[in-house]
Amino acid sequence: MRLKIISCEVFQQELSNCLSKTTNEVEIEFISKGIHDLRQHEMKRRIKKSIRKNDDKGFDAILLGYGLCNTWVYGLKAEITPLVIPRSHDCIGILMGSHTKYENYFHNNPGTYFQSVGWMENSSNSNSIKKRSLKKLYGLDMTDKELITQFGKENLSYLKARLDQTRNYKKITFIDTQVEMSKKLSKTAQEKAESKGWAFEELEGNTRLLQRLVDGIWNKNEFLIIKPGEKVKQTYKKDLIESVKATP
Amino acid sequence: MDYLEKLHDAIINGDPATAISITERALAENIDPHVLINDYMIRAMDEVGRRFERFEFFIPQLLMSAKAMKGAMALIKPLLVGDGVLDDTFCAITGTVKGDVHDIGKNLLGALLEGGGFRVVDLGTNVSPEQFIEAVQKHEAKLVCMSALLTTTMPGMKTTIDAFKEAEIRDRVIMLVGGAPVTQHFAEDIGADGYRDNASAGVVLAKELLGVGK
Repeated sequence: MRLKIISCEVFQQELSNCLSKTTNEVEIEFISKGIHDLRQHEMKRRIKKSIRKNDDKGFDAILLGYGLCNTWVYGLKAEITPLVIPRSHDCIGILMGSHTKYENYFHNNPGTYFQSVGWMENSSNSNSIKKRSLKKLYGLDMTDKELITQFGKENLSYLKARLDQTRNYKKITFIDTQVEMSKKLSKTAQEKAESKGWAFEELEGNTRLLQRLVDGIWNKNEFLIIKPGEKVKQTYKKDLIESVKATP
Repeated sequence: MDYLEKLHDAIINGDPATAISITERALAENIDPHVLINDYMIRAMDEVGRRFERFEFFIPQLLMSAKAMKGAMALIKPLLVGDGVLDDTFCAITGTVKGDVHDIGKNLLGALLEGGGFRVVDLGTNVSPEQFIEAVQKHEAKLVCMSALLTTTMPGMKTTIDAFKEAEIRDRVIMLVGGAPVTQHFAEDIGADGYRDNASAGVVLAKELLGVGK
């Protein structure tokens, strides 16, 4: 098969390994992880731009290296080429190799901050993204100095306690997919956990979902195929997403 | 009475010290606390909510307005207990559903609900269906607001609504849902009474569905 994969850059190393093992001809394009920090429709617009560019190039399918991530995928339409996406909440489920395994782990470990090599290596955003980010829009990126200048020193602790998005987190879990820098970044993640007084766990990752994605083994439980003329619909059932006929 | 407008402005400007001092002066001059709440404080928080909705206000500004409102309310509340203003019609239970520990959006909603005259019982984060049910029964609340920030935890809203049905108290409460991944379609699918994509609009919807206020 001749395939195109448009993927978040967090999977860069894992996908490169998978591509070296596949018999399919796969053309790859990575998009900055930073688009996750934009408003949902902006994230969607960016990925759609890449899909459109490749839609009439005669690929057998366009693969999407994304999960539901900020629900960007809801309403996504396939025009000419079928689209294939793993059924996963986000990259962590994909890197664990199973979204059911991820869900179980997630519910047994509320307040966990997940990390992986790709996640950590791509954690700083360009100025263009920073300027348009949700953090900026909501004032969640304000420094202590800015908060003091605008609201006074006496209100700093009140505001900081309420603006810290991770204040209820208790744990960092590092997903080890055995790629370059795994050991080093796992240690960095562990140190971060220790500095915050959180627990730390390292979990073995599994690239089987990514391998199946590029190999074209798209079973219904794990992947959603969106045929031309269909769009993605949200469902609260365990499938997470389904495809329905798109209204013109 | 002209100085009372400063209470309204102090809440909008997120100035707790002024809000408190004006309230103290007003109460010392025997101004009806209901006038302070209805004519100045709720009106101010409505405006704060509108500005937030239009992205004219950042979250820190909204939090400061909430602090100013709370400071003034703390002085007024003891005078109102038992007079029917803080009755059950206006009691709202808020919480982030089980498995989810995010609360910025839920807390903003709580602040705006309080600003809108509701008595808010916040159950915090990682709240089980049983905890929601217990709180509704204990406080005889008629409004439940559930939040989730993640698609992983969003189904907890359905589990909670189903638990209310199971306990045969679903009809007694208005159940609203919100949070980044939630959509109108999802809300309808799981049998919620409503959804809004921001805290300010959520308060307007709550009032509309309960048939209270404007």
